Amino acid sequence: MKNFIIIFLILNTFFTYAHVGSPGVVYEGNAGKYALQVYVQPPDVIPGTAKVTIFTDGADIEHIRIKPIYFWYGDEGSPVSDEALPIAGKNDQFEGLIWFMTATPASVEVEVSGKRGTAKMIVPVAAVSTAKRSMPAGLGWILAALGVFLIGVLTTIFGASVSDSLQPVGEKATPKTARKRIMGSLVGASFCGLLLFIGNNWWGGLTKTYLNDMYKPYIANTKIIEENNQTVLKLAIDSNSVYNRKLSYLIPDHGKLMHLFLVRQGMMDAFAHLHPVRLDTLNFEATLPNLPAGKYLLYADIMRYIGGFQYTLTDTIEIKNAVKNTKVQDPDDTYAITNALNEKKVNSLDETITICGTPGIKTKLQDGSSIVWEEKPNKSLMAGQVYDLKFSVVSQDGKEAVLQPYLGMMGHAAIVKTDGSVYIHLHPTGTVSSTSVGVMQKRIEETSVEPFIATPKVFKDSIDKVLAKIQTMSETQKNQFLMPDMNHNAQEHHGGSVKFPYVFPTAGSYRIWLQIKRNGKILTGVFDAVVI
Amino acid sequence: MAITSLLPNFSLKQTDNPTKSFLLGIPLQIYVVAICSALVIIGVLWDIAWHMSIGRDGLFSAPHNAIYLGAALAGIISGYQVLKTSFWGTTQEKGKMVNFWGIFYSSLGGMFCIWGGFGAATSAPFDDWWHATYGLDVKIFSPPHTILALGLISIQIGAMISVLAVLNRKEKIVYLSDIQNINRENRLRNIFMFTAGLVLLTVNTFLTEFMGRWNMHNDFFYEIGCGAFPLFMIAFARASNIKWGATIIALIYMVVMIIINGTIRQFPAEPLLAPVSNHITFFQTTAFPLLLVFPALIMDILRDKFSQKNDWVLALILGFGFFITFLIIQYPMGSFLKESELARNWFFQSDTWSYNNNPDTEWRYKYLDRYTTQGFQKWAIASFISIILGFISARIGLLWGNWMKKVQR
Repeated sequence: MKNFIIIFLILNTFFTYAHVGSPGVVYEGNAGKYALQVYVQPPDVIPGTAKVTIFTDGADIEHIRIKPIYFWYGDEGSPVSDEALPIAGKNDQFEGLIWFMTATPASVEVEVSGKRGTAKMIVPVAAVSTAKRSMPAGLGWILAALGVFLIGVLTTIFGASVSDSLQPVGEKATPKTARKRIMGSLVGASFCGLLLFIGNNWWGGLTKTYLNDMYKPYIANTKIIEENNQTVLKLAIDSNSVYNRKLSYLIPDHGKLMHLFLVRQGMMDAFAHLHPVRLDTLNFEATLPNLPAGKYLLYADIMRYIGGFQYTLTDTIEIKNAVKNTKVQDPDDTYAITNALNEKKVNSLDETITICGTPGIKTKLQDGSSIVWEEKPNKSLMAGQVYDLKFSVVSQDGKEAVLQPYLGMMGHAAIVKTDGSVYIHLHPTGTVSSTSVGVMQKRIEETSVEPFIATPKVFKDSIDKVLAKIQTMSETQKNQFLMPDMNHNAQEHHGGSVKFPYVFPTAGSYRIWLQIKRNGKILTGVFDAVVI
Repeated sequence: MAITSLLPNFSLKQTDNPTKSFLLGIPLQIYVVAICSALVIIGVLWDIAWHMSIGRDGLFSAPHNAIYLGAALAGIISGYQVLKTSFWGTTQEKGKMVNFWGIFYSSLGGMFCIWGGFGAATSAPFDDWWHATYGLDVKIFSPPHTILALGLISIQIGAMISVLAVLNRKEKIVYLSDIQNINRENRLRNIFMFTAGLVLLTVNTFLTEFMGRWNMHNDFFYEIGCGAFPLFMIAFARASNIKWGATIIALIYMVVMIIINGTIRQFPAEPLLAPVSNHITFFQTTAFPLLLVFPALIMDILRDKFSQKNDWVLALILGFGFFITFLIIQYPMGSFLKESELARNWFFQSDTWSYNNNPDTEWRYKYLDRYTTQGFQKWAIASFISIILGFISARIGLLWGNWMKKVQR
């Protein structure tokens, strides 16, 4: 129970916008004829600066310019762009700074020019204040010493003002002068005390204002109930945590309003990726897959239209008895059982059992095919460095497997640090959802200074209609709808490998659940990673 | 007394040393800290314009450098003077200084400058930590900025007190001719008037948030004005020993402000921070100065006319006089600045509009209701408060002025 509470506190302490404990933004895509990978390290205090690193696909780049664009102000409210400068010794990598002044949905526009022309890319960024800092002891002592000196001098000035400074040149101080000096110094010291008192109160008020303005996650309350002989997960968003972020403006990401992940706490051996349905603006529910009993970490992603800003709801939940449901609410819901952390043996006899792999080692998937994480087995992964987490799937006959889109993407990955403090839902485009990119691009195309946004009711109704329409689509239609830019030919062959650009934020142990689709079946590969 | 009538008694003795002749026996430190005082306020007005126009700055932006240079130079030269006098100074030199902490000798103005220099230095690491903890600058007023502001105004007051002490001593420099000694006194007084005008400008600048043209039809504007300005104007006028002291100091304040802001806005500038609402092409500046010369003129006349009254009565007369003149002049001036097309030029600067403000808002050239006080009763109460504040301000000013006249070291 104690651990349970600790994990719960961790989840609610870490900022939970667009994932948990993983503030770095990595986005990979094409800008015109250039393939770019952009890594943004947003500030943790707003106003602040973000460091932007751009990895390009060639040495023919002449200029890269970057600038911030806010959802609320559009391109019209953007300043002139800044040149990102080449990194010394790496002629295909560039770096620059972006200033984010307000904590509203934002993006970085990257404009690349070279022999292949000029093109732009948009990378949505969560620019919010999440850090609470205290003063380092060393600086505190230095400032205290300077403060004492300043008080000393000011007190002396007050004393001298009414005594020595008024004495004619050459005259020595008398006892009367000394008395006046003491009186003046006392007034000076009192003045300093008053200044410190006022200053301290003011500082306290400003700190309070800052804390009020910090990012606040939506609070989710979850419970498991039995309903019509099925075990159902109910998720309610606390209306007190909504503030002015109306939930009527939720939009589907990859065709789903919510992507909910469950990971059995501690052992990390049970995993589910579900898509709860919306009952009303605050309430969602999902029929659980047949998960074993235990305490689970819960992460649920939602996205608002306002800037395509992603939010992650977190909670912990206990499944008291092994779930034995007979119905599947959404055919895209999946779950997987694997071996527990630090154990080779599997704790369950469920048919979906898969063995957890490690870098460079081929591991069997549920349908008999194999998956390999193309990373050297003995190479250490470093925190703060961009990695292309590349996975290749090989069919039973040893040939490259044919992968199909799953929820409009060639793969999905969930990464959770084993202490629960980091969670991310990744795509081949990186940490950024293509839906967010689409929202920002559409906004930028608008020429008005302020965006057009329908009323909450109209907006929600229109989204419900879209969701209902998606439900009626065939698999091909759905893929065409969710991936309009891709070529959906009859074979739907997209190669046997998929990669997820990502930056592990901190050192520690991570577990990766990788989901792909093959022959109409969703497969889950599980990998462990140690990051130093 | 006309200067010419004194001529026959003049000594013809005159120094041959061109430097001494040029400096007129006024310590170099006085000239330097007066220049520092100007540098500081130039830097501050430039920095405000920078934040209104470009938005983004670094630790060593050009306006910051002007401020640092002014603060550092004033602090260093005053500190040097303290060490030089304390450890290598003659008894005569020490006799002109304040002895403090047992071993140190400094002029009172020098102590202000040292305090200002250390205050500015303290604010730097504090501000750096503040940015990392609460975000980069969005507000002018924060605790570290206030320490910097106090440091800067301390330097300016230090510059003013430094020159005043020398002026008050009425020394006659032996190596200067009598006419040079008269020139010396005039120059000291001019430097004092200049530094006093700069202090007034700084006070006005720190009150920018309340004293803008958008607020000139608001009772709060007059209450703040009456609380702040008589104090400084009367104190400086009394210390100057000149009949038209307040008028001249107010004129200096106005002319310097017009020159600084008028010059700054000649330079191109482009916003570098989002969101940009106003895509400006040249530096935007704070404002046209307040027409303080008119209440100053009235106060000088009243000071002269009622010079025999005791200071409490005089303060009431001056506070009342300031309020009435300030209101009568500044209210219609506010209408002109805010609403007239004739004010939208480099001189009156009413077209100035920060990059992050919407240039198309109808309130750009129109008074907002919530910034406008309406109704006889509200104005009656505001007038009463303003006169009381003006009285208190004037009384403190008279007291401070008396003290300033007596400073010797």
